[in-house]
Amino acid sequence: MNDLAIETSRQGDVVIVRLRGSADMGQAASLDRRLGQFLREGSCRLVLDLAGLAFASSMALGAFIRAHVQCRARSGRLLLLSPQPALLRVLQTTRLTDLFEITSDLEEAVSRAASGGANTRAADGVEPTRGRAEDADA
Amino acid sequence: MPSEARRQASIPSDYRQAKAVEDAIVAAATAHGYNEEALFAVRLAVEEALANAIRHGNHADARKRVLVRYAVSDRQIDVHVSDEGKGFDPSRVPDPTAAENLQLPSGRGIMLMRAYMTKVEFNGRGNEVHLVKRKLAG
Repeated sequence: MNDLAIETSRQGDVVIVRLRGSADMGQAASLDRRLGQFLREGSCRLVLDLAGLAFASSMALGAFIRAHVQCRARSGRLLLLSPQPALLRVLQTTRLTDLFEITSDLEEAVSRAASGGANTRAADGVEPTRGRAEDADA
Repeated sequence: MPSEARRQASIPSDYRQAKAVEDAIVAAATAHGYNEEALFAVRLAVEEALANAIRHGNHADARKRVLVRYAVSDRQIDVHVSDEGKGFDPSRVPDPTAAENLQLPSGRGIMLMRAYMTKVEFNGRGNEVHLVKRKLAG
């Protein structure tokens, strides 16, 4: 399986982070550092494009979660875009579909990230919108 | 179909070397005709077991070893992963899918192993895990 490649682009205030390859235990630390770097630089409106990510271990999921929590603490917003079916199943199994906003539409992801703030999921006591994950599974 | 692959490896607590063992197990499973879903499951569970052994068992101390024994046949895959740690009681690991734990960046490894493998057993001390994946008929 390929190593992890991280590419970024920007649409307004939103940083789109494209992950390709495999986010395994050997890559999780560098992924965590890169996501932390965006936040330290003030980019807390993030879209993680997972369409090219074939594998993610729980350590990589931990990096997503840390970034998500830090984004919210700064009134930002982090969304997951187009996880592959196998990775979506991992997110569902771990119930992280209740924590993350997931969509398969880039424009929608950018728009929601840009709006910031109201990133409300089950962990905030709000009923999750599971439909987003199901959209991505299609 | 190749004959049963049976191997043993003793590696330092190093993610790169652990990944090489993980790749070897997945390659053996591929050679024995396991489907993509099973290969993903085995990769994920072995990765979680190795990461736990390195991080939690050996506290990433490179002087401490992780022992991996595996056997891959046409019927099932058996993987044993042990570390030099004190062990733990898996029944005391908090449920990572509970709402209050969703934002914790770690603690999902064991539940992922259980979700993706046919059988997961720990020894009495809690420093060795036995993973089993049976091949689905048809």
